[in-house]
Amino acid sequence: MKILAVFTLTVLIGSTKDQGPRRQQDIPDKPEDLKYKPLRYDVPDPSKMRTELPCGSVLYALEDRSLPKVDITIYVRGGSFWEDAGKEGVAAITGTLMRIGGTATRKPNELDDELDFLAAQLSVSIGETNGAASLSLLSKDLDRGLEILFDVLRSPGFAEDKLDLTKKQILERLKSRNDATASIEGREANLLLYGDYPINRHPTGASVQSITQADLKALHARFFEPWNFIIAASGDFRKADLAQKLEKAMAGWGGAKRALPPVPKPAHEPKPGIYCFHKEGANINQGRVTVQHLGIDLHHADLYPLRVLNYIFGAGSFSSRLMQRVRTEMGLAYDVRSEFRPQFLYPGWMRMSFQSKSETCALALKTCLDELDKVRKDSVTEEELASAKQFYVDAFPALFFENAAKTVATFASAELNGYPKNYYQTYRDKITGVTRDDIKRAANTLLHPDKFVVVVAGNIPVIKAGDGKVKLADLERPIEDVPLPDPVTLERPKPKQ
Amino acid sequence: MRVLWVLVLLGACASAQESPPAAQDGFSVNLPVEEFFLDNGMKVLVVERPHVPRVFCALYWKVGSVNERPGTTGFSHFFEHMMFKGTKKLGTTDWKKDAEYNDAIEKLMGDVRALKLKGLEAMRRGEPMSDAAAKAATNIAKADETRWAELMKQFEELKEAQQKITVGEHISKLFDSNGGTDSNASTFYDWTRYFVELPASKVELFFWLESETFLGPVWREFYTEREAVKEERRLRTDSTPTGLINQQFSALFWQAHPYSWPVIGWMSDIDQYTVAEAQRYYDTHYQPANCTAIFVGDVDKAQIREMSKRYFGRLKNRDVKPDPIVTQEPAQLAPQRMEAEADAQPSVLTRWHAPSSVHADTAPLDLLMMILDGRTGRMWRSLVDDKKLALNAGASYWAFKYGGMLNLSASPRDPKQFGELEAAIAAVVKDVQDGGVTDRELQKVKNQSLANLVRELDTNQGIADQLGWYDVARDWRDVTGYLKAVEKVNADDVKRVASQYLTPTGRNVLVIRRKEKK
Repeated sequence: MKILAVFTLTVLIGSTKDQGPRRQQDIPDKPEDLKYKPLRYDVPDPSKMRTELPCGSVLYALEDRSLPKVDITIYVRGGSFWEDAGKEGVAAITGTLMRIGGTATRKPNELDDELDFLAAQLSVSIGETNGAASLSLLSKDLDRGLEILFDVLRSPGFAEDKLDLTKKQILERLKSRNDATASIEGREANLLLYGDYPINRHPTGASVQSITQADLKALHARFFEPWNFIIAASGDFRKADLAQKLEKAMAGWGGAKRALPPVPKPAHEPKPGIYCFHKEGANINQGRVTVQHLGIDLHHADLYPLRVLNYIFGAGSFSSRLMQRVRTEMGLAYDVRSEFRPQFLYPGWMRMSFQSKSETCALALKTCLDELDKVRKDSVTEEELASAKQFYVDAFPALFFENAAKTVATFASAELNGYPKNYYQTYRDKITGVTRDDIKRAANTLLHPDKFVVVVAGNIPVIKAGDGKVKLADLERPIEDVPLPDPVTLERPKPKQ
Repeated sequence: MRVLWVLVLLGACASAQESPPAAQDGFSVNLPVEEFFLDNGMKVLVVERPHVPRVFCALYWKVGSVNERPGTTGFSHFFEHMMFKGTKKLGTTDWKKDAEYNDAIEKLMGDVRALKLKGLEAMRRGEPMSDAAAKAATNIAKADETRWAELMKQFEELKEAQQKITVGEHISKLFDSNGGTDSNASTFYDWTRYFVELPASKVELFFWLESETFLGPVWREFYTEREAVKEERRLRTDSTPTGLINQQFSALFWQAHPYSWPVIGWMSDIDQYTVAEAQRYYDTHYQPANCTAIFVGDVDKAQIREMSKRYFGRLKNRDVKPDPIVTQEPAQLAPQRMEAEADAQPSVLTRWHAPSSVHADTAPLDLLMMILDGRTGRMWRSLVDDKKLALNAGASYWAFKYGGMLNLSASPRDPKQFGELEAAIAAVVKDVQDGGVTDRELQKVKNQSLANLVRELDTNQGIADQLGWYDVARDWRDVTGYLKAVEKVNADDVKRVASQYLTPTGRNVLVIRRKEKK
């Protein structure tokens, strides 16, 4: 395996007791007194993995002979962002049907029989802006697996009976859209933040019913050609052999590179306030709360200060301020976190979220907002900053390069999503360059408490009333009750006169 | 067709790059594990895997919800949370003052407990209860509400005063700020595990923190953590569409065995956890002979041996022995059935008892359930493809240390056809009992057993999990040894276990219908 992990073998000055048996007296009194050898980790070089195939695909390949298996993921640009109005759901259904609908020459069940007998795992999925086809199998079956994979990608059969089954499965799932408070919270949070934007154009009963085999064929033809593929491959193969096999499998397929229409900018102006979604049910004893406004994309100048702030404030699990205050000290939630998350093709979001028993949702919400005010006013401490930097630097290999499969996936997705050049090569330096002032600036210019759109899902009357000390109205933000939409049509009942 | 690979997991980087794994006639995976024991009986397993300079470190303790009793259900899980609260050296800036606060809080909460016990008596008599207390999942008589509120106010004051000398989440912060990832713990029926992945240069931090934790835990932040666990229960069970229904079905399924209660515990038990129970739990179950430490990654084996001895060698066994699990699940004399309504997709689940995971029938049962599962499995082919009665169908097998569960499940195409769907599931079972399985079906699932294991071994954590789970329930050697048992299974074995375990009287059916809108 080619990942170069190098330890500097320098012995620390003063560390003289490495020889001979050590005794319990050699245990330092404080864990902070432990001495470690310096860690050096060189970022794997993506240019050594990258090849442009004559067919137009880009390949990231990394040999790893430690296990007799191969993992291949073919990323494709395209997805529900480019669906036509009235056909919501067609992208996801196309992915499903490519997997289960057979090919021009293979019946669906015969294809499944062969893959299952080889214990190979094949999946195809199409999301918002990207799709992916993955194959995982024992290396002895690679040739057979590649043949099936490219048959599926080039000549999907889209069998009518499988389309019918898939539509029935989805229609049943649509009925479940208001079942869990978590699904209500997630859907409504995006609707309030992005308004009429592609991520909010959900399938409905009517749109799913209208989807035909011709729609799937059109979507497939639009995105699935070699010029639009970035391939990540790892495992037990020789890189040159694999490139040759892939090129052969894609020979004579597809036209020249085409541009997809650009991803639009969201035009919606979110209206600040607290939006309440009531869920019926005697069992609903806990509310779910998301506090949010629009965020930045990956190219923003303050990306790294924001990332470090996010870690210290609420994304660093038990080390974070939100967890410390809301869970550890107050016992108000099991999980509380912030997610100041950049997106690559459109602005991301700034979110805080938690779940608390209905009575203490208001108190927990107030606590989160107070914590945010504090960090905006005082920034973070030097100690917090140092700890956060050390986390990112030390955890770096685990975050992106844990094994061969993750390494090629990291670089392939970076290229697919247009990450800045040298993103991973400069990652640690940019983290260690962040100062307290940078964080304060980011906290004050990128976070806007007055703009917060708060989503509350659960037993609303109890949540509003609070715990006898803090009620929802005490937060002095406009409160609006929003009825749940019909789960299948997504139409909301008219407010009562 | 035979699978022709001996899987060589390890080898020096250079040679691994140059030569492909040796092809041999066989059906096995080679996972070189170094095992050694400390003088106190603690077991240590080490796997060298030098790909990335990281080491996954874990402690597996042979204690879980199976060791609880009515009244303390969920305690193993709560105890696991408490193991992040610290010791005299961790989690406080002044351990003497901290101990005074803990004593004061303990005395106060003793008074609260007395009120709670009085509250339970009042509830038995049907007397008025405090609404305010009920909101916190506590039972206090209306008559004692003022007194309870007073005590809780005093508790809040003490807690806030103590917080001034508390270093909150000290252990997690030390792991995180040294590049630890996935620092966490989890609890199940038969085990509790604590884990983190660290930079290879910082493994000593794990030894320091974990040996210190299990050397002398302090019961700090006990009552606040109890509230966090209540929130966890509300999150995972109460406020989900089917959490409470599944919990009831489990309690119906297990007549006598401790597996009948939820790992997170009943809410009324969580509310009554005591420090005395925590100390008893610690003394009984957290003895080094009951623990296995696992290290997977870019390890220096000699260093792991040395540090294990130096740090974990300090842990002492005590005279108390954990009570053995003696309760045997009685034979089920009649089929059982539960029909529920929920805000959820309609479904039917049929469940039977299976033997312990160490039983010789585990391998044939495993293969049987794999033959029934998946899109090429018998359930899907019959119910979804041929009869068109279901939208989804599958099978699963969960094997635990003292018993197991065989599950067949499906979602109807038409919720009015539950009867037909159940009959079709019964027909799938009867078909395999009467006609057995084909050689190709059997070879398919044997191939899958091998490939699934290979996939598990692709990360440090995946390897550690496999070793830990097998070690707790049977023997870590079975991670690879189990494949030998799988290879030996023939079609007759599968047919036999299908008849022996999927019996008409042993059936347990859970039907969930979508709740109609009022």
